[in-house]
Amino acid sequence: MILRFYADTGLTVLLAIIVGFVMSFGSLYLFNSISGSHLDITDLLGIPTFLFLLVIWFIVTLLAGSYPALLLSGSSALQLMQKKFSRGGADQLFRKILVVVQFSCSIVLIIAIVIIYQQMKFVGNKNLGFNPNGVLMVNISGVRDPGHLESFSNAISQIPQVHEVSQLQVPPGFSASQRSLHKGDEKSDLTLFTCHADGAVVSTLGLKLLAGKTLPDHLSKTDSMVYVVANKKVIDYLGWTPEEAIGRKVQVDLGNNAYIVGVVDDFNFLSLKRPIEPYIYYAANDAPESFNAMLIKMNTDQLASTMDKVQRDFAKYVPAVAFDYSFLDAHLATLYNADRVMQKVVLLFSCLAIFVSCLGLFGLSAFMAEQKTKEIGIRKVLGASSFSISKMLSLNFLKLVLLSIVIGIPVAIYLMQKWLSHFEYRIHISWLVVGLSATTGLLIALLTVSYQSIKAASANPVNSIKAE
Amino acid sequence: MIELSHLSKWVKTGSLQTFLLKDINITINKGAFVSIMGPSGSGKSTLLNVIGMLDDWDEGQYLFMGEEVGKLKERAKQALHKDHIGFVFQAYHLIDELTVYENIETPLLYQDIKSAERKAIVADMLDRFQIVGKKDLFPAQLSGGQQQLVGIARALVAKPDLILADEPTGNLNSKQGEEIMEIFTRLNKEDGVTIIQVTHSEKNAAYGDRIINLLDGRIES
Repeated sequence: MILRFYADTGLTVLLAIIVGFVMSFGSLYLFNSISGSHLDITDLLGIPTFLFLLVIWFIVTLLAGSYPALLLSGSSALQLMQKKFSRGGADQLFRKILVVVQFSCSIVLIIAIVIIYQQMKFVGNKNLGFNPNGVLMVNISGVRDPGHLESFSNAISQIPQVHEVSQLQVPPGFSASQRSLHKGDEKSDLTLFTCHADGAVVSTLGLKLLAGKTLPDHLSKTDSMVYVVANKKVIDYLGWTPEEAIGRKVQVDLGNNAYIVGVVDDFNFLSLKRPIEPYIYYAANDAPESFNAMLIKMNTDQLASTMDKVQRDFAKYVPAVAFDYSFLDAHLATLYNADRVMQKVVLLFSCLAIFVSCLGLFGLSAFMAEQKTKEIGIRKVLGASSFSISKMLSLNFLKLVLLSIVIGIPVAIYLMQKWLSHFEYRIHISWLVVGLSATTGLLIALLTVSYQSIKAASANPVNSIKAE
Repeated sequence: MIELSHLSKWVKTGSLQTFLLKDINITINKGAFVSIMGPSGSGKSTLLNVIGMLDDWDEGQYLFMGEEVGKLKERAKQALHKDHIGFVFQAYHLIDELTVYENIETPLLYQDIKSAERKAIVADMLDRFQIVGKKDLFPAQLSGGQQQLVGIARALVAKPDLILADEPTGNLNSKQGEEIMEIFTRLNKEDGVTIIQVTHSEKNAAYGDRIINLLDGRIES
C-alpha cells in the first residue's frame, strides 16, 4: 500500500524532471543572456547532471510520497469511508503555513524588483556633476611622441561634430592618483585624488566652474608653477569660499608651487556607490604623471561617419598605435554590471516565485472549496448569494495573503536597505512603492483564488447537499 | 400560495429520457400542512427542491405567491426563496464549524438585519426550543434530535411563510420524531406557517391535513 503511493509519486516526479530537463535546454539561452555566463548545451548532458537529477528524484519522491503514504495508509478503512475524515487542525495549518511562506517570498521579490528598478533608474539619471554623454575616450598611453597627438588633436578639431578635445591622465570612472592634502600646520591631512590634465578638461567633461578659470593650455618652458583646478570638497576642507580660494597656495605633494586657479563643483568621478571625494586637476611642466587618455566631446548625430574620420586621422597622425577607444557613458554603465545582472535575475525569480505561489494558492483554494462544498450548499439554501459565498471563500485567503504581506514587507525592506547601503547615492524606500507592490501581490492572489471561489459558489446546492 | 401546473422534469442519458417529475399539478394554499409520500426514487425530494427553487424544471408552470417562478431572474428567485422559505433536512445539514448560536444566526446574515436585532431574534429562537444552554456547542456535540431542533430553529429564524422538510425525522428515533412533528403542528396551527414535508412514515404523514402520493414522478393520489 505504502509502496504504491511512492511509486505513484515517483512516476509524477520522473515526468516533471524529464519535462524540466527538456525545458532547461530552451532556457539555457535565456540564462546565458541574463547572467552573462557561457554555458553550453553539452554542459547539461554530463554525468554530474544526471547523478544530481537522480538524487533529486529520490529525495523529492521520498518527501512528497511520504505525506499521502503515511497519512492514508495509517488510517482505517472505516475512517476513510466516512466523509468526516480529516486530519484536523494541524494538517490544515501546515498547508496554510506553506502557502504563507510561498507568498511571503513572492511579496519580498515583488518589492525587491521594484526597488532595484527604481535605484538603477536613479543611478542612470543621477546628475554626476559632469556630462559623460558623447565623450569618446581614446587610449594614448602607448603614444611616445606628444607631437603626434598635437597634430591628431588639431586635425580632429576641424571635424564639425567634434566640440572639444582634451588630454588627461585618467577619465572619470577610473581611479586617479592619491595624494595628501595638508591644511596649514595641522598634523592631520586629507586623502585626495589628483589627475594631470590640460585646460580643455573642464569644458570637455562639462564641469561647472564656480570661480576662477580652467587650467592653462600651454606652459612656458621655464614655468615652475603647478596650476590646480580643485573641486568644492577640497576648498571646503581648507575652509575657503570658491572666490577666496583663487590664487591661494595648496600643499598637495606636488611641489611647493601649487596654486588654485579655478574651483569646480563636486562631481562623482567614481561610481555612485562611493561618496564624492576631494579631487584636483593639475597642470605642470615635468608632471609626475603623463597623459593616458584623450577625451573627445562630440555630437553623436552622425556617429558612424564622425568615428570614421576620427579613426582615419588617428591612423594618419599616430601611426603604429592601435586605435583603442570606448565611450565614457558606456564605461560608467559597466560600473553597475553586477547590479544589472542582479536586476535581471531578481526579475526572473520574481516571475517564477509568483507563478509557483499562485499554483500553490490555486491548489489550496481548490482543495478548500472542495472541502467546503457541503457548507457552501447549505449556505446557499439558507439564502446566501453566489457573491457572498465567493466573498467568504476569498476573504479566507485574503487573511493568508495579508499575513504574507505583513511578513514579507519587513523582510523586503531589510534586504533592500542592505543592498542600497552599497550605494552612496540611493533612493529612499517609499511606503507608496511598498504599498503598491504589496497590493499587486494581493490582486494577483485574489485573481487566482477567485476562479475557484466563483466556481464553488455558483454550483447547484442541490447536488452538493445530496452528496452525503 | 403554490400552484404547479403540468410541471415535468427529466434527465437525458443518450436518447433515453427519464422523467423525474411528470405532469405534476398541485395547488397548496397558505396555512396548509402537506405530506408528500412515495417510495425511494419516486421524485419526492426533487419535487421539494423544485418548490424550494433550488432546482430547475423542464416544462410546465410554477406560481409562487402569484409570481411565475420560471420567468424570474436568478436574483429575484433568490430573494423570494430567502424571504419566504425555510428548509429542514433529514441530515440536518448544520455547518460543522459553527456553534449552535452561529448556525441559527446564519440565515439572518443574508437578510440585512442589524447585529443587535439578530441577537434578539436568535435568543428568542434558542428560548423557544429550549436550547439556550447548548448555544455554544458545536453540532457534533449534540444528539440527532437536538441537531434537528437546531435545524428547525435555523429554518424558522428568518420567519418564513413556508417550511419545506425533507424527511425531517428520518434519522431520529420515534420519540424524537414525535417531538419534531408536534413542533410542526404547533407552527402550522399557531403561527400559520405552511408546511410541506416529505416522509416515509404513515404516522408522520398523518400529522398533515393532506397527503400527496408520488410514484415514478407522477401524482398517484
